[in-house]
Amino acid sequence: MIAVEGLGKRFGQIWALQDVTFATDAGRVVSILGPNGAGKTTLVRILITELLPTRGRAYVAGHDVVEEAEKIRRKIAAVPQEGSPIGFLTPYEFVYAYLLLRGYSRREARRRTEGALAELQLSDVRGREIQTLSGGTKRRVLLAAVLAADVDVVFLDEPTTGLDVLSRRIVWNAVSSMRRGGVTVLLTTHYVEEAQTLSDYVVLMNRGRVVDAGPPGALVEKVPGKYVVEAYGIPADRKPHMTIGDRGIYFVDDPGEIANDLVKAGARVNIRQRSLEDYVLYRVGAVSEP
Amino acid sequence: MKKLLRDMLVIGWLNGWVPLVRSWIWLVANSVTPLSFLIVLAVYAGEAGLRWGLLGGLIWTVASNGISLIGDATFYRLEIKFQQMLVAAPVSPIAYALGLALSSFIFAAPAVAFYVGYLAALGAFTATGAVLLGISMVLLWISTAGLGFAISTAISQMRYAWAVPGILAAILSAMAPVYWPATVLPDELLGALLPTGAAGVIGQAALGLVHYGVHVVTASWISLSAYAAISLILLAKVARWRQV
Repeated sequence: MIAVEGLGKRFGQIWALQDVTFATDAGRVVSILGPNGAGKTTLVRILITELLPTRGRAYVAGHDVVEEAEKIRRKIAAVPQEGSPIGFLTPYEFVYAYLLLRGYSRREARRRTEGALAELQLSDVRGREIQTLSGGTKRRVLLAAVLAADVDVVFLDEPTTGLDVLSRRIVWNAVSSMRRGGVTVLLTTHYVEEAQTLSDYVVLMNRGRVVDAGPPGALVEKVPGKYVVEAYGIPADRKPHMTIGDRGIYFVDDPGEIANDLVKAGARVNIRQRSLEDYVLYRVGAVSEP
Repeated sequence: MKKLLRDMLVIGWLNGWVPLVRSWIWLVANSVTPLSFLIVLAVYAGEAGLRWGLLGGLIWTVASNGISLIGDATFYRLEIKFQQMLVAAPVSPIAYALGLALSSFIFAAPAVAFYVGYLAALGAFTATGAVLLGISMVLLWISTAGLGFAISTAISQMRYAWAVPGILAAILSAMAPVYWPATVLPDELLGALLPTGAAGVIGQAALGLVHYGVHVVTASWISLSAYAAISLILLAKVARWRQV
């Protein structure tokens, strides 16, 4: 449903994307994971036909993003990064207008709007001006619009950034609902937990390149150790696999021995099972501003 | 074509009608300046001043609302990214731009109705004069809205989008014969240089406020029509979803 082959995008002298390649089937949730500046939004902008690639090819819903943009636009919907619905409209008006613009009849648009607002738990605020709603609720209004659009592919660019835990989970439910309906969802996020929870496939990016890609479980398996020991205040004779400031990270199969040694040396220690976040740390290093 | 017209109406509704009925304070804010001129001219020059103030207010309202597209279009593109949602949808950029232009016309409609109604009540119109004034206002709306949308595509920071329309509206209304006759210029033809000036000359002639030579009125029609045509071409050229 989405296929990207050697995609590159250059702004002036800077390559925002280089040789990006991955593919995913229909009805899957794909997470593009990476730190700020990884190229996630540039990738999304190319895939939604807003931006021309400098080189490489990309196909969405079976169509070339350069040659067949009009065909793609009928089959996709997007929630932009830091996007917000129009403040002086109500949630109902915004979703309804969006569906009319997508070509639905007024009757069908009304029906779909009602359903999507209910699914995103927005029925209580359907008649309030959007500018009076919280940031999380506004984001859910955008989600309701693309959910109601019933398209083949949905692009969500950091849909949960800045949301509280409840709103995040409502968004996650919407993503799961779309997947159940056979929609392919491409999601960009900083939140590794979100990618692990929602995704069938994860594309890990850093500095415009794909670092690795695969199902979340398969990526986690690549962490060199079943457990992760994090220590604050690292002794000189116990060199960790990686350090972030005064925090040392050890990837081990048996955490007991090293944890004991670290505690004896005065370090504060935290032991946990490996996760996708550890794989990101392992491959990308600390997720930080470039 | 049907989809294009429908999309225009939807965008006109959501960006023109809804804020008009819900945020009427903006309508008042937009009307304050031309109404102030109207009052001052009426006090100083009686009914003749009133007619000048009403015609000037009409032209100011149409032009400033067209130019105000700079703010709306930039806000939707940069601030809330609504434009990006429409890129990823079967909406043509031309429909979007024309819909925004329509919304500016809807938003201006009450003030336009006030000026036109008042002029009619004063008996300022002949049937021919009303038609000519109506056509010139449509051309002025197309000219300023197209110009507004085109300028919005070049703005990269939101703060400029709020400042530029105010400056342009003032220049277009004060530096052109909108509230004053082109006869004060070294050459009356200079009055047709700006679209608002051309509309002013046509309106003043149509209302019998000033008797211009045929060549001046003709030049004003040519100028205003050319502005409208160029604005539409410009709008079609810059109204593109894809960026390089």
